[in-house]
Amino acid sequence: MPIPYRDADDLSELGAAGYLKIEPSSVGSGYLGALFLINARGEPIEFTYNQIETPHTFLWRQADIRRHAVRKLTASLLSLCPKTPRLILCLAEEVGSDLFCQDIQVSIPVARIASAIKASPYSGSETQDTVQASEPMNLFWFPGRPQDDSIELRLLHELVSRGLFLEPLERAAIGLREVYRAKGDAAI
Amino acid sequence: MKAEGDWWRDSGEVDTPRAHWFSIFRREVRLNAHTPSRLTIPSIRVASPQRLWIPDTDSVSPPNSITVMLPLSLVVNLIASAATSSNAECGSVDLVGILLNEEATASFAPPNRLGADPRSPGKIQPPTDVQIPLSKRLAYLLQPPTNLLLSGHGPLEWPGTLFEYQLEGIRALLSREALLLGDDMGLGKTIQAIGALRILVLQRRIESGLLIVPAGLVSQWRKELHLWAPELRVSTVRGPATERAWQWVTPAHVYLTSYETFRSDFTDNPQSPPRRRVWDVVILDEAQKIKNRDVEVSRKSKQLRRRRAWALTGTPLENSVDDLASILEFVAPLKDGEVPQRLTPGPELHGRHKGLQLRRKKADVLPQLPPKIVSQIALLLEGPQRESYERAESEGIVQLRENGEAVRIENVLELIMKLKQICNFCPTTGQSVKLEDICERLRTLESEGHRALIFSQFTDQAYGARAIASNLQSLQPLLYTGDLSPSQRDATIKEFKENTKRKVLVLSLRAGGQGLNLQDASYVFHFDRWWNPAVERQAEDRVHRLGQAFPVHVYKYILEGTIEERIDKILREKQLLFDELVDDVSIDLKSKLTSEELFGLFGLTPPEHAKSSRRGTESAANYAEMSGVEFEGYVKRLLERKGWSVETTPLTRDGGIDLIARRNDDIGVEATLYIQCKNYSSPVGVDIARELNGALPKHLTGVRGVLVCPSGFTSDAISFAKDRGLALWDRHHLFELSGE
Repeated sequence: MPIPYRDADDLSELGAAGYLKIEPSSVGSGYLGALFLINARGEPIEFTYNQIETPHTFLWRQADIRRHAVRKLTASLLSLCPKTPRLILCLAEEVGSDLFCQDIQVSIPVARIASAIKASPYSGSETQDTVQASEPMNLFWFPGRPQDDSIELRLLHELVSRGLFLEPLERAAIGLREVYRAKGDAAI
Repeated sequence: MKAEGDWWRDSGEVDTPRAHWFSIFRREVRLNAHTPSRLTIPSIRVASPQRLWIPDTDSVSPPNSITVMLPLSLVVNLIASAATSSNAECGSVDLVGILLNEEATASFAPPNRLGADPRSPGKIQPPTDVQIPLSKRLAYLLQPPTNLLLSGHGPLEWPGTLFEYQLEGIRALLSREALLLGDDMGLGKTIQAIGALRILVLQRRIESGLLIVPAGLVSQWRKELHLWAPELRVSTVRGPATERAWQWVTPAHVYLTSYETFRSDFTDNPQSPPRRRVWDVVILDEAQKIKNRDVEVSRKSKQLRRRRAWALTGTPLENSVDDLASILEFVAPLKDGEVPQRLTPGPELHGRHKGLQLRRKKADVLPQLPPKIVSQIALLLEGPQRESYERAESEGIVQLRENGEAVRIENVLELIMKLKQICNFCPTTGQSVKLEDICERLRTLESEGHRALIFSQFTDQAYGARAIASNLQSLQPLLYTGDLSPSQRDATIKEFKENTKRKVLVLSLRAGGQGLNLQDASYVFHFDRWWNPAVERQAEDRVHRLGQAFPVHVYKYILEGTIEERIDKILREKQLLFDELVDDVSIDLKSKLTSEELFGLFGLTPPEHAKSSRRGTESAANYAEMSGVEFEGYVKRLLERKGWSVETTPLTRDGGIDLIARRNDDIGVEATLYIQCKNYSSPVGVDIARELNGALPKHLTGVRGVLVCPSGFTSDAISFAKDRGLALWDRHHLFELSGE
């Protein structure tokens, strides 16, 4: 039985933010995916990664294949992640609204991020919000924007104030490239 | 945290895409799904987060409607393999030197380049060496980038704002495996080193480092580490040997110790704590401590196996270019089996110095720092003090003349020392024109709320720091000298910092001139003058440094028409030389005083045997040109000629003893001399005398310690040796021993 304790550090209480990174594989066809968990200080906690290969064919519509692959890829990442992040952040250009609005249901808030100066499609079931990071950014929350005094929003603001709003996605991309740079070698 | 899997689920509402082929059949898409992997990166705050996890095959979702060409296999748990080991015995992640490309943009920019954008992205370059496990490569690559870590609004909390030049310094330290950080005193070398250490540890580029500092600064470093790198676990190695034994093996990121402790604990035994491991980084603070390559601590520090070597000193050159060469010999990584390099003055050293030194001057990088105003106070000797001085000088000159050709440099130096002491206090009445002036000034400063430091090269009750302190009792001065224990020193500094009623701190130049942060004071008095302007400047910079809010006033006393005035002229010349060599790295050093200059102080010309030579050539032996080993051999030969049987101790096992000489006296009792040879260009200090005393075998009769140094000894060393029965042999004694 674990020993109950409480860390006096406020930042530790905020838990972890999960950054979902999906990008097309540079080798063959398919997608690479990573779920990168960091704490409020930006320190990495977990890095879960996987790839999925898709067929080169005209038999299926690419949009269908992509949606299906991203769904499976994300499910495999979530299945291996032992910790529940407070929220999940991802780029709207990489993750469509259907992933979390229809395909996969999560009990934590998910925010898709898009530049506020570009038009980005979002679902009617998502809630639009704006954050001032290095530039104004749109957030599309599902199932809805957390309460103002919620831990989730405090965590988000902490990340924004520390320059960690988008930066972890770059790290996740670097991690993915490192893992798959040599012939899909994921053996450790 | 919730249990695995209860926070998400696949809705299953969307069908697998099917191809419609002329409406004849519908075919499901076939995806090749791979096994996901996970890397857990342990928190820096946890010493050894390892847990055993039994993979549960049931937790893996079975293939659903899609056809999986490769079955999902057992998940790979990387927790254990990625854990940062805290075991001091373990090797470290060998990322140093391999994963350094990240900071390729960091450079040794001269001050005029310091305005470069610090946030220029230093993109992480993934390592190409696949020998490093992926888990470790990822553990490094997934850390926040350096620029973000250094940012005031980044993930790391810094207790103060880092100046641009400090960020530059940290980047330089991070990007180089060898660096001589030679910033002016007070620019925050400590903070830069700690900042770089913090980031290296956080980025998993190093696991632990060794930090060697002067004994008096151990507590200060500890505080700074706690303040600027609270995540780092620090093991302070000091105290009795039994305590040190476990302090060396306590899991820690930083092992903090003093030069003296390091020297004791780094033994010939390959398993001695500082020796048995390869350090990720070794940092020497006040690296001028190893300026003499023949000193034991200098030899030992260069033997440390290290992946990174940083030397911190504001005065890389105190006396000769050999100082610099010795320090630079340390500033290089040393792999297993390698031998420390030896550098000699010349173009190679010049090039190396240029490539390894990062030096910024206050005037260049801290225009906002309050100015330092140096004033010379010229006073005239009066009354009995004047009579004492004139009598001593005229008698001394007569004495020098009477000696004729037999006169030696030491005779001149002795006279200079005696006259300097009289310039401080009259030997008969205790009168001091300097003290009278200082009292008057201090009264004004006290009323204005200012606080002051008074430095003297002497510590004694007759002419030095104690005499000054006892004459200023009304101001409740604090005294800081080399004979205080480390805890007493800490207490004194703490009292001065915290008790604002303490207006005056009297320090011996050698003990208090290095490393202390005393921005609480803004006035500095040099009661007497030191031979070396670098040492004086270092003392002044205890006050003139980051955090100083007021202009710093430095007063240097000069008694007109005395030896002090004449020496001042020489000091100014040395100051020029220091600036030229260290700051521009452009000329060779010829700084030593000639015998003509020394004799000229008293209107004399040197005898024939000393003419046109350096101080070291007064006798047949030219000490200045001898290496440490050659000097030992020279002393050995002298003793053997006198009938002593002399044994040379092994270099790495001498414990401070270089020679052991034995001889039976007339009644058959064996006399043994334990000899420490120091071929220094400046007088040997009390620390060396202490070292020798500590190395002498106890409870043996007929044993005597002998300290040999052609350049003589400081007053502290003489006093210490006298109390403990140590013999001090200077150039004069060696000359007599040689029978020339």
